[in-house]
Amino acid sequence: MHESFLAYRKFLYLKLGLGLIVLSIGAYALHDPPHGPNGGTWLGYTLGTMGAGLILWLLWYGIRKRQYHSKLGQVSGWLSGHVYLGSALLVVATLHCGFKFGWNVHTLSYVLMIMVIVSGAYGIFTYVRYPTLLTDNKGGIAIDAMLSEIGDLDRQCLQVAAEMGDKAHQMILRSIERTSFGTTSWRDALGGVSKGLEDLGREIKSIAGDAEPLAPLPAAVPQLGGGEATVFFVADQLAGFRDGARAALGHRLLDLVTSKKALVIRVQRDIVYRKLLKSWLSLHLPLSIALLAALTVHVVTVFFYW
Amino acid sequence: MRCLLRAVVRRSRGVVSNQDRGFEGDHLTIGRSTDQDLYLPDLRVALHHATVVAAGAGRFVIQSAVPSGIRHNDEPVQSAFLAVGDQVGIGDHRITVRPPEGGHDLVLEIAQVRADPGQEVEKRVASASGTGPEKGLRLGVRGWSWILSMTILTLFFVVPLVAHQWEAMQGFLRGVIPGVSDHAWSTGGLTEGHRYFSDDCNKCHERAFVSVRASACAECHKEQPHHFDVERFKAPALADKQCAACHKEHGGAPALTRQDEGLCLDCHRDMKETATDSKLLDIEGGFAEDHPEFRATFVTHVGGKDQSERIEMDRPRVLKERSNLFFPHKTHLDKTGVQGPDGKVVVLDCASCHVPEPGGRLIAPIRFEQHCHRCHQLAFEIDDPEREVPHGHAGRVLDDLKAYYGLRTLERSDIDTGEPDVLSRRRPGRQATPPERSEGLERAARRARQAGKQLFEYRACAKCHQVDEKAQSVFGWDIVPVRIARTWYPLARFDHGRHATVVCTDCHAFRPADCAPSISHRGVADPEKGAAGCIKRVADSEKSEDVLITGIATCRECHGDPGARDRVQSTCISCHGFHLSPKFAMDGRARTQPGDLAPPRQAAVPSADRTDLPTGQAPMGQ
Repeated sequence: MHESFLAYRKFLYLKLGLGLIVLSIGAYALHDPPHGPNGGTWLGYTLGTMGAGLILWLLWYGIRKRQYHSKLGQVSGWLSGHVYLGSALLVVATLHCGFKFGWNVHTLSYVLMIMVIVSGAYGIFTYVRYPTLLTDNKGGIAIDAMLSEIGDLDRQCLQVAAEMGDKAHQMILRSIERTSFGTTSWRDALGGVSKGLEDLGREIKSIAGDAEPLAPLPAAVPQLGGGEATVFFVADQLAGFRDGARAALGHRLLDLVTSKKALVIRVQRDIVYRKLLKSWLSLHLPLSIALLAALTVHVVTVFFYW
Repeated sequence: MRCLLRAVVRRSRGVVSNQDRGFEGDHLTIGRSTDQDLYLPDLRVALHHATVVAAGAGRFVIQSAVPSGIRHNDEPVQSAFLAVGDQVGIGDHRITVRPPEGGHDLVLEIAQVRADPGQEVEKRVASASGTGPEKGLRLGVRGWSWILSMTILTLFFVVPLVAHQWEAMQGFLRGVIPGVSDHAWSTGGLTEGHRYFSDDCNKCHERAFVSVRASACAECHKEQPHHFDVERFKAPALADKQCAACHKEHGGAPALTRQDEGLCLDCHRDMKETATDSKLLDIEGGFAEDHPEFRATFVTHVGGKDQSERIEMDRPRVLKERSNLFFPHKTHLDKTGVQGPDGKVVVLDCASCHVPEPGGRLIAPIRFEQHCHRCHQLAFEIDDPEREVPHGHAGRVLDDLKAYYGLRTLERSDIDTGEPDVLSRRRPGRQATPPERSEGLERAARRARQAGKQLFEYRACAKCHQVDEKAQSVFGWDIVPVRIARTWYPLARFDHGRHATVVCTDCHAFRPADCAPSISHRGVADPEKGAAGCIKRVADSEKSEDVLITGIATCRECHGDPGARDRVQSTCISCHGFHLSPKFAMDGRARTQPGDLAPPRQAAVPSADRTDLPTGQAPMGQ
């Protein structure tokens, strides 16, 4: 039976991590150094050494993960320890510094460590949440199948639209051309929403008017906006159709566009989920390496100017 | 425009052939419609999709006629200039601009590249989800890792380290960009006194990887007094201590010195262990519970030498000051007032005589001229009340009196004493005979002795002072030296200024000889409560031997241990100093200015006028 890395060996590492936290807090509470808690007391050095050791061990996970023939236990066990002991590090390091912060390389290490831990925590969140969402979203259909389905639908749309006339064809053509997948950045995503609404308004006006050509779009419209626009267009065309044959064509086109839109949304979601599953690592890893550098500077300089 | 349209035709088995076709006209139309100049039979091309027109100077522009636009070098555009090598994508066709040849202005090569729109979609999905080929130059995880870590190592380690070896660079970095100098290594701010050199880390951190040495501190603190007389006591625990053991910098806190009780208790818990011949008491713990009862310091005179003696405050039977002075506080603090020589009644209070010294820490000593003289005048001749003998010079008084009466005899203005006046019986103009002169002098001397006796034994002096009887037979009269403790607790730092909100009588009271020891003195001043237990108010003190100060119980009403919630948190060094030795500096060498100690230690001199007792030395051995 599958066991989540979080529950590895009945939460062995959760217990270890909690033990470490309790031990650190207890020692910190009992410790009453002459100049107040700081990294330079015996407890400070002890917690600091523990913290540095933990960081090195946590970093080693990145190496262990890539050693397929290692005899140092299962990767899922390592991951479990990585998660729980990494969280305990938050307490150990905070008590190590005794809540003394400043604009220096020591606090830089601390801040980097916090960022690494927070990004890691977000990573756990994605690992728990998005695989389920991914599976639900696919609904048993492979993404490749969805994509070739979209291609088929595009082809059918073009055929029907070509029969309906050049304007409808242009509209569908644009819809296909501008079908864009994935996210660029948050700003683009936010900008896209307003731009999409603007375009929609302009299109409706243009269609309602006369032979005035459709205004060229300044940039790619996100699929949801563009899809809406196409649906609106087709619906609008339908209203104007009198004879049965053209109306039937219109209905068919509307069906095609709608089902394409649904598929595109699913593909889009799939991309977003997979991106989210990966994106935290591109923060977590560089920050970890930066932390290693800062930690080295921290340890050496503390003793350099002892 | 003359244009050559070259269609690339893929035949079976990968054979490729070109079909050239010339075109001449104003503009070249492209579309799916058969009337187009360039006919592209693909559903993804509009009937009229785009037009190529000459833009002058041998340049051409392609203009899209539909909103979906065209792809110019893979960028979706509405129009674009065409240059040799450009690729224009329309539907599944790719139009490549080739170099002009054969008299044509423009050569376009047309090829069908994309067979399936489904593939197109897949390609876009691949690039969106990051699995496709990277677009342009982007830093991956590895790149960012390198950049971040190398930046940190360079800025905060390599650069400051190089500067550490190279003074000019060091100065520049510290002054201009302290963030990448060794200032970035500082764990916290310096204390006020050290800030003026905080720029230069190496003032204290002399050598790399060696903790700050006492020698660095001694650059400025050369004369810092030692804890004790190093010739008399040995304390191995203090032998190799660095200043940093107690004084920690970069704490950001206002105090540089260790505040905890361990600072002192480490050694003072067991003084026998620490210094075998020390007479200091063991201190078990904090102020609130374990501090022994205070001991008042008295000046005693033994074997011709002034010494100090310490007596516990809970021993009221022996707690008596032998100051050789008669001063009843009761008389002076009479609620109805005291009558002065001018007949005026004055009501006195503490502040009438006891005023703080400049700085407010201590109360200034009582001075006769300032505090007593207005009432206690030293006149000796009833018809000459302005004339007084000098205070504080008992040995001179008799001579002064003789001179005074001698002069008055000569001036024949002597007062009537009922004796025959020998000199006044002289005939005018005749010089006094020797027997007459000696009789006159004798008379003056007799008169002076009479006045002196009155002053010393009955009136002025004897009122307050003990007259030295032994000296009397030889030199006339003398006053037994006054030995008042300047401060009762000379080894404690008590600041009257910081206790200004407390009334004097909260702490100043006394207990009669039969008073039980453990009663707090506070509340004595409150008339509602009345005197607590047997404690008496200062205003009830009739003898100057009463020690008008309370013991530790009074302090404990407001002061408690570190961590106390309802008390002022007080540790050893709240009251006691460490650097006490007037003779030796911390490095064990004799101090060049032994007497030059800070005020709290100077207060260890038990009497204001003592100079023969080495400062602070006596209490150490007690």
